[in-house]
Amino acid sequence: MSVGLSVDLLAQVPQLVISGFTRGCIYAIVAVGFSIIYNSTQVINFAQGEFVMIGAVVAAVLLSKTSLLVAFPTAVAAGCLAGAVVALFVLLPLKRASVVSLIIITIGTSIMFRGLAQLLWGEAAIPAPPFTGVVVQGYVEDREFHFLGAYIRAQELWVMGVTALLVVGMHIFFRRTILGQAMRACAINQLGARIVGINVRRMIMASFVMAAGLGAVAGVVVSPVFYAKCNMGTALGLGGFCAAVLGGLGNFAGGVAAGIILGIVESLTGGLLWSDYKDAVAFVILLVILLLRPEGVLRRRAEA
Amino acid sequence: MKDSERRGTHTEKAIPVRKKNLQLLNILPFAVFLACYAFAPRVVNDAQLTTIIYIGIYALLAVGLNLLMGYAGQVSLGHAAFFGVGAYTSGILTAKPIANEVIPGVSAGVGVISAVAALLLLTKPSGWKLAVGISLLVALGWLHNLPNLIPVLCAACAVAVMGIFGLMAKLQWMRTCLSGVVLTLVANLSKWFLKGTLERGSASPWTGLLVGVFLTAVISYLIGSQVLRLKGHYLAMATLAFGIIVEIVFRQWTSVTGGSSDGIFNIPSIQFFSYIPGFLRRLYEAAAGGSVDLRTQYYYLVWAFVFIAIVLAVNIVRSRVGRAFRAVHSSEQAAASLGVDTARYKVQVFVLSACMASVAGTLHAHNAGIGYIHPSEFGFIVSVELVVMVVLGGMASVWGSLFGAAAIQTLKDRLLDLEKTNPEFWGLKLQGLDPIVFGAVLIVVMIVLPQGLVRGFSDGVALLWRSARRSGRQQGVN
Repeated sequence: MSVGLSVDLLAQVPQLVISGFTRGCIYAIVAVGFSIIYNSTQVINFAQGEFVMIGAVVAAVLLSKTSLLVAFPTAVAAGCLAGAVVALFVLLPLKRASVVSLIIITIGTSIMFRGLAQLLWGEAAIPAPPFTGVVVQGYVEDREFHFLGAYIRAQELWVMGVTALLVVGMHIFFRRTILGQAMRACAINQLGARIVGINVRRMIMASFVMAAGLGAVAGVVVSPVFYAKCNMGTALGLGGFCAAVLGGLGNFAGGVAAGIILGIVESLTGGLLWSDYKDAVAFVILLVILLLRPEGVLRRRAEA
Repeated sequence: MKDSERRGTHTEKAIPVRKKNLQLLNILPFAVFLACYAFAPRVVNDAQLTTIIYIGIYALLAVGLNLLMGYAGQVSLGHAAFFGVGAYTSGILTAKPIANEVIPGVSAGVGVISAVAALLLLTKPSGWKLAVGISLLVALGWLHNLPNLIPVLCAACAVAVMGIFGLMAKLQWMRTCLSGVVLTLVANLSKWFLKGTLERGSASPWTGLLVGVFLTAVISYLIGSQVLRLKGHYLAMATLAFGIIVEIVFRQWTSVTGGSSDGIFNIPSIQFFSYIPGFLRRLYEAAAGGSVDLRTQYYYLVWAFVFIAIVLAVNIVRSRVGRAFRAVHSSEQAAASLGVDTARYKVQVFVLSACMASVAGTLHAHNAGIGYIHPSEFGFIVSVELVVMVVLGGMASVWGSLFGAAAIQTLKDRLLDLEKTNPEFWGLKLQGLDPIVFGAVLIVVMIVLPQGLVRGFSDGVALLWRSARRSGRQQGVN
């Protein structure tokens, strides 16, 4: 790896950090989604990345025709619907299913969603106009800000802002509302939750829909940054899973921090060292993390 | 609901059967298989033969994967990677030898991974010892990579460094020395072999097969011995990540694999008629009814391998090792407490199924009349297809995987035929239906018949038979 870190490579660092941060925000949201579902069912939902894909693709298709006010809710609704479908497939056989069959079911739903998206909107990347752009010669161009030697696009600020909002919202939801507390109760002890009168199946359904909705929101805000493609789900899902494991499964704050760190590390290694293999960086990190610390890096030992 | 509380779907029921019947029942499928094998080229047309060949290749993969998934209960979502390693090794050696400037790097790499595998196999280091050992071997491999050093000096250096490391880390130093020897030996052998191949222009497909199996065995041992410590979802994710990494390497390592734009083409077809004695050749010609062309020969070869794989799988399943696999599947803790070396068995079955996949890959690369491979043939979606085959045919059912492979391949052909007619549905062009259909098949089979079609069906028949007998007996009593 004898790559001379020349001056112009180093000059790219701030830009890479910014783009990595954006990607990391998506990983963070996906990781939170993994944790929500894992807490309520102990299932890792392999279709998690597809929720982001659905949000992104639906939003990209609608944004070119209608306004954001229509596209945003429709895309999120589509994501929630997908989440409900996965929940249904997982819930039907849950009692007698083995881990292997649950894995296979979620993979089945994952490739089914991908196939459906491919069928409906084709394999090509769909460009989407940024939320707050300026019209230049008929095209919508994004505003750019200069910040510490890097250009930062308005859309990237949107991604970061929405992520922050979602994370805070999640925190309040799980701490302050009855529904959130009921879901946490299910996570801690399902039998106990059932005894005090919580409908566990409904909570599982709610957790899938919520995780899917979160993913879809992430997809919507990110569709103008990355191009929305029907095969973007796998990479985002795996990255999000990597973040979830890094932060400790079921640990929201850890997942968010790990997601952002992962995004930045991936972007830096991809940009500076192995540009040919930049898609593989996240997977290599995932493998290493799984082998070294499957219980998570950011989780306290006592908890694990 | 913890993982340990969920029982495996596989339960063994002891049904008393008279021994003679059992033997006949055991041999019957093989006899039918052999008869179909010999006379199939007489009855089918060319297109059907192609389908049958593909079924054979996927059956080989599915039987291997079933040993891992169905019997040992370890999910692999990256099985297509081993398929690809076999195909690419053989394709590269026979059609596109590695260029001179890449040879030192590649041979050093092969040497390093073999040496790491040897180190793991011999001394089972863990934690920092493993890390230091691997980094030492990588450094030594880099030394071999340098052009101007005398091989003897390199070898001495490798053995000395590894020996000192063994002493310092309190591993058995003789064994760590041995990994240094392996490094030197494999690196130099592969350098010599690759240079020879480059000079001659190409190697024989059979050499490609063997080299592919060797490489796959080493890689799968390296991956398996680490990854199989994980369980359930973690294992699935890790194999998935591995599969995608390998696919990316196929796509991006353009100097060796041709990348995603070219692939490897003009791969010669594999043939075995010149290697077998005359009477066997005449036997084949008699069975096929006339002279055997390359394509028919290829068919015979593929299905011969399928036959070997099935015999091997059936025997393994019925042996002590097979019982150990099933014990691991039902409950790993229970198996371990009864003295089954679960880690070793899991790695063994992983390597075995990877090697089967590698053989399938070589056969796939030397497809008579096509001779072309491309990274997309070894991607994530292929791994999922293999899982579909295993699940559909039934986990823990050797003949079931054959059925699964046949069903999925036929389904794929039908979908392709359908897509050629440009069907429309509510103004929507139906193209690329495979993922939707396969996803639906996976979900439905897993929910309705988690034992798979063959086993689910046979279980149903057995249940009916038993209840009929019971009611008959009750009538006799009354």
